[in-house]
Amino acid sequence: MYPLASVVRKLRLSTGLSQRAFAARAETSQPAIARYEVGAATPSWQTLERLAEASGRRVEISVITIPEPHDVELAEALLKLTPLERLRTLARYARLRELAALR
Amino acid sequence: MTQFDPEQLLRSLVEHEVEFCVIGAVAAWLQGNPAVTFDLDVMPKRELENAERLAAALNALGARRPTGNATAELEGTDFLGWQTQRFETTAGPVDVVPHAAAIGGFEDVATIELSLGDLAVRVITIEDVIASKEELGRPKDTAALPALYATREALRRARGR
Repeated sequence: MYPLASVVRKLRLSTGLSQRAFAARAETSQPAIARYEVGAATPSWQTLERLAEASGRRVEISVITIPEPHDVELAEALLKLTPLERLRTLARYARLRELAALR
Repeated sequence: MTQFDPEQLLRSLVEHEVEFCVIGAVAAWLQGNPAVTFDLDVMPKRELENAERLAAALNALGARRPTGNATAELEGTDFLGWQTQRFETTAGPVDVVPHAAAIGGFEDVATIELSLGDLAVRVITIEDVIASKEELGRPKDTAALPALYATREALRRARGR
């Protein structure tokens, strides 16, 4: 997920056009493109659709669940291990469960 | 209960040259998902010769179906029809899943290769794990999603996105 300013800049760069030429294609102005690309202004939804279309794309919105920070921390901790270490850690957890079941 | 040893399971599959990828909870765990599991889900390529190699790999682990009382030698033809089947082995349970909801079969899934010491194993991407869980929609799948989303976020951070 990128800040909107970065999105607008990536859209323009994907066309290889200058701000002026991109603005013309998207039916807006070069100063407006300049402001969008530095985050000094936010394009309206309609403008964003025109910017996307001007670069051969369309806009889609997806709603995603915000991950729990604790879960992210756990995942990051596991990612610090090599894949083989992760696999062997899983086997150790399985062994713990077996030992618990024996009690 | 047979001790779950995913490394031994994967080694047998690799050494018998089975074409497969790891799916499910172990695939997610290997990519950082902090949810423990005690069985291995694998998705084999759906070809007769591969089915025969798969049978040999499972036979080497003393595979038997949970409902059976004796070790039954498997054959490649046991997998034709390509239904999901579960086997108990000397290294723990294995689910053979030739086709999974939302992600398809071996030829359809997106995979990455992981180096597990001297083993090179393909696992489905965390995105495909998520897609499969979202499609299945069972309570246990829905319950697994928050941790999977967190794992996806952790992977994005690790890649600097």
